[in-house]
Amino acid sequence: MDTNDTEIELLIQAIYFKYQYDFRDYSRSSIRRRLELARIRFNCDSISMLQHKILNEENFFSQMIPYLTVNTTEMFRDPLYFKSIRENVLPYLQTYPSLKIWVAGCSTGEEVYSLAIILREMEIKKYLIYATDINPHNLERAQKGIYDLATMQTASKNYQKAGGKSSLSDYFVAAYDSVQMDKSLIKNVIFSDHSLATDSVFSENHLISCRNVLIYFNRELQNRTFNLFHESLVRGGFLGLGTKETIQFADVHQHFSIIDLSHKIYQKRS
Amino acid sequence: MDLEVICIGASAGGISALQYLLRNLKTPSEIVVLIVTHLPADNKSLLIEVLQDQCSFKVKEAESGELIKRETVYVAPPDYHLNIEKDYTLSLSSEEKVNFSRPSIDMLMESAAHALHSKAIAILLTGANNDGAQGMKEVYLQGGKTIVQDPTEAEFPTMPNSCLELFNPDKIATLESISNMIESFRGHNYV
Repeated sequence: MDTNDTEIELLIQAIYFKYQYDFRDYSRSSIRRRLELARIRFNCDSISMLQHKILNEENFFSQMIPYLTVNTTEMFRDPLYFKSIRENVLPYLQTYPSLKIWVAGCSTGEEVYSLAIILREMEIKKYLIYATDINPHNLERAQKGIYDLATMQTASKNYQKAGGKSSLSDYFVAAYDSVQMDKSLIKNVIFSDHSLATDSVFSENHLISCRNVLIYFNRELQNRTFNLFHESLVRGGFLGLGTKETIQFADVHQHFSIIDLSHKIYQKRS
Repeated sequence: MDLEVICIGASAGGISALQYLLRNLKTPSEIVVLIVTHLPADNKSLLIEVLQDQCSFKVKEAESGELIKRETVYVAPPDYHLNIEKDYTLSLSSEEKVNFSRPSIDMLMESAAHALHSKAIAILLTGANNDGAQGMKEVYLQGGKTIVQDPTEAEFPTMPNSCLELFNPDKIATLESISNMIESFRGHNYV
């Protein structure tokens, strides 16, 4: 292991010991790149210096968190996934008296609002969404529901492609450069911090949507997370992943059937 | 692992160059090929078919967490960076574009440099931008092999040239020559 690799391992350990954020099983290529960007941004000559700041400066770590996690997201991201949820998952789940949905790694909340919009358009009222993320700042932003107006054009197109029944603008109010999402959309949403790496099962859900989070985990952590998801689903519950993710390499894959292979929607066997 | 991991980056003009190289791959072999190309997203599903044509290796889109296997060509999916890890698994990322590109050739080469060090083999082909030069240099600095397509042969010489401006790679070569070099990596059991 060269010095830089060693420094990276030590920094990850330091973060775990001091803050209990566990990046030990994140894919190293991504972590290396993120740390290098942070090192440059915070003017540190080395990864060790960055570690020093993390351990010794009170408010520094919260600035590091956005560097350690990738937060790319948008409303109805990969619209055909949402269309598939609308057509292949929710009609089945509608038969339950009430639903529990877990959006794992909800980032700044766009996918939560997207699901809430679909649920409203399908007149599904009895549900609870747990929206979790390891970054408390993301959760705050998700709760506020204020997004850039500039992103709404793409968002509207995505909404239509996802089978939207009316117009995305029905669900937000625009002011200056921003939009405020309709707050009533999240009245059945609980935002909470939760780490897929360290935390355990907290409920049995009918649908888990976890998209483009697992790609940043190494294979072992991906496997553990699939175990967690398996335990966090009712029998017959659904799991939706990012378009380029897959359950096939996980130990529990045989406990799931494939509902939609191209959009990575699986169902826990009964 | 005895696998020989060959990372190839290509942009404009890259399809025919890649086809040439892939068609000359012989089996049995210890070689694994990882490819990043810059192509508009809607063309990518055809890309796999086009590259599979007359190629004796299996050509597929890279999947997150996949353990690489010999005699396989893994292609970065549209709009995701492709990385290789120390444990020979592939990982994908939605991080910001690098050199205006996602997938980025720099990203692949850099991950190979740090995962494989002196075992990395990196090949840069024709292209109209600068993506890949920095990544190739990283492979070189970590002791890996670096091969750049001869700019006088490349359909678009910009990408090979921007690499040559940064450092001297192990070889500057025509596709035919690159093909012979790849054959030499096939594995000591098969020569």
